[in-house]
Amino acid sequence: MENDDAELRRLLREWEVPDAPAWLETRVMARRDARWRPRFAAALVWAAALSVAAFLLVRQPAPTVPAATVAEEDPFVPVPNVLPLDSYETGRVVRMDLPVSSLLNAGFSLPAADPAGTVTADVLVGDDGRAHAVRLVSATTSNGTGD
Amino acid sequence: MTDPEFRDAFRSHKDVLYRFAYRMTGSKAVAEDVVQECYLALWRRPGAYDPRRGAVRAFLLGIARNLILKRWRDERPHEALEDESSICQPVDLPAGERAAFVARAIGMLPPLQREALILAEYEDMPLEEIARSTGAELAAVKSRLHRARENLRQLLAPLWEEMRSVNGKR
Repeated sequence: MENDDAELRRLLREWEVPDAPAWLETRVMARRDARWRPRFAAALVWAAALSVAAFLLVRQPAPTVPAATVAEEDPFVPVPNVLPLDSYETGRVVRMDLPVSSLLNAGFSLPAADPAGTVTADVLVGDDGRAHAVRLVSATTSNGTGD
Repeated sequence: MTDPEFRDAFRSHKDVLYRFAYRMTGSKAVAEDVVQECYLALWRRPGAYDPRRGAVRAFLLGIARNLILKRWRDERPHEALEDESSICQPVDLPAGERAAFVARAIGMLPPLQREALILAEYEDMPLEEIARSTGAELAAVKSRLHRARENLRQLLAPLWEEMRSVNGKR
C-alpha cells in the first residue's frame, strides 16, 4: 500500500503547473488602489444630490404638509448595493432633508411619499464618505408648485 | 493592514493560491482572477482574518476554494460537490501526454476530493491545515483524500500499469 501511494505520488508529480505570473502583483495592486475611486464618485453623487436638495428647499419654501411621520426609533435601512459597515469600521450620522426622488433612485421603496417632495432622514456616513444606511425621521411632501 | 503587510502577504502566498486555483479549475485566467479576488477580500476586510484561527495561508485558501466552488455550482447547479461513488472507467492514454492525462484525471474528481488531494499531494499541507482551509472536520478530509486516491488509481490505471511494468512488478 505504501508502495502504491509512492507510485501514485510520483505519477501525480508529472503534472506541473507554473507559479503565479509576475505581472499579477501589479494588476492586484492597481485594482486595490482603483477601488477607492468609485467610492469617491459615489460620495460626489451624494453630495451633489444633497446640494440640489438644499438649494431647492431654500429657493422654494413651498408649504409643506406633514404626511406620514416615521418614528425616531425606526431602524437604519442599508443603502442598496452598498456593503454595510463592518464591526471595525466607524461612521457618523448626519440628519438632512433628502429629495424623495434621490431615495427612489437609490433603490428605496417609499410608496406613500410624493416623488417631488423631500424627507428628513438620518444618514449613516462611513469613513469612506459613502452613505451606508438611511433612517427616515419624518416625511414631508411638496408638490413644488406652491399650491 | 498596512501596504507593506499586504504586499508581504501577497508575495508569500500568491503562488500557492495560484497553483491551487489552476489545478482546481484547469484555467490560468480563472486562477489569476481567483488570486486577485482573494487579496482584494483580504484588503477590504482585514478584520475577517483572525490569526488565532490559523495561518493567513489557510485563510486565503479558504477564500479561494469558496470562489472556486461558487463558480463550480453556478456552472453545474445540479451536480453534487461530493460524490462518494467511485469514478468511471480509465481513459485511453495518448502517448507522451502523461502530464495532461494526470491533469485530466484530477479534473474528473469531485471538487471536495480534488481540493483535498491538491493541497495534500501538491502543496504538502498538513491535514489539519487542510481542514481549517476547507472548514471541514479532520475525519472528512482524510476520507476525501482516501476516496480521491482510490478514484485516481482507477482513472490512472493505464499509467499505473505502465509504471508497474517498468518497475518490474508484473
